[in-house]
Amino acid sequence: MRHSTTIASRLNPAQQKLYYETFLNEMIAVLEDFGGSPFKTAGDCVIGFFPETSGFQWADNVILCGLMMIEVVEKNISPYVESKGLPKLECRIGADYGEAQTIKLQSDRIPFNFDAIGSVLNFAAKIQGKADTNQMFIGQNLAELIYTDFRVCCEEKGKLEDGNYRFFYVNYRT
Amino acid sequence: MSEKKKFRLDMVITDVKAVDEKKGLFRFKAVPDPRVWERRTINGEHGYWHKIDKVFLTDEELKRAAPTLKGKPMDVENVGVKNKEEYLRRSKNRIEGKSEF
Repeated sequence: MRHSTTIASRLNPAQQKLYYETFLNEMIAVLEDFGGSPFKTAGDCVIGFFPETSGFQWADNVILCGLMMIEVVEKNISPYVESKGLPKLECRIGADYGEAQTIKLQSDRIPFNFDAIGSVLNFAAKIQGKADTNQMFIGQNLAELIYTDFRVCCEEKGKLEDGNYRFFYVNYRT
Repeated sequence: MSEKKKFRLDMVITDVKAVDEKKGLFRFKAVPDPRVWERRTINGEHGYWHKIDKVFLTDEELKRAAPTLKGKPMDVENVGVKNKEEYLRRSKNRIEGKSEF
C-alpha cells in the first residue's frame, strides 16, 4: 500500500481497521486465486510466494496476479474505501524469483514463529520500493522466466545499487 | 544474488503438417520466438541471440538439447485471465461482503 503512514495518521482506529482489512484481505484472496500462498503481512504489505513447479505457468501466474492486484486496487478497493469516506488507496508490487528458506523463531510468544530468509526476499522488497503508484516491478531472474508476451512489455528501469542486478517495469495490460 | 536454475525458451510453431492422421502424428517447425530471439553469427558460430537478456544460444547447443525433448509432452500454457470482468465482479462482491464499517 502506498503512503499508508501518512494516510493512517489521519484516520481514526475504526477507519484504519477498515482501510487495512479491506486491502490486506483482498490482496491475499487475489494471491490465492492465482495459485500463490500468503506468507505473512508486514504492516501495509502482503508477502506471498508461488511454489516452483514444472513448466512456467507459476512464473506467468506471478505476473498475472500482480497485474490483477493493481486492477483490483484501482477498480474495486479504492472506490470501495472512498465510498466510505476514506482516502484513495494505491499500491505497488514487487516480485522476483529465487530460493528462500524458512527459519523457526524459538519464542512461543511470537504469534507466527516462522520467518523466511533469502536474497530473493531482499531483492523483491528493494525492487518493490522502486515502483511507482500502481506499478509492478520484477527482478531479472523472474523476467527471464516469464512468457514472451509479458517479457516484450517489460521496460528496464535500472539496477539495484548493490550490484549489477536489473529490474523491470511490467508495462502489460491484461 | 539468487541462484537461477531454470531457462525458458518460448518457441513459435509453424509449418504444421500431418504425418499420420490416423495416429494423430504431425510434424512442425519450432523456432525461438523472433520477438526476443534473432539469428546471429558470433565468432563464426551460428545461433540465436536474445535481444533483452544478451544471451547467445548456438545451433550446436540447440541440436544437443533437441533429443532431450523426445517423448516429452508439449507444454502449451493457458496464459491469461479467462474472464477479467467476471473476476473483478467477484472481487467487488467479496470486498463489499467482507468489510463492514
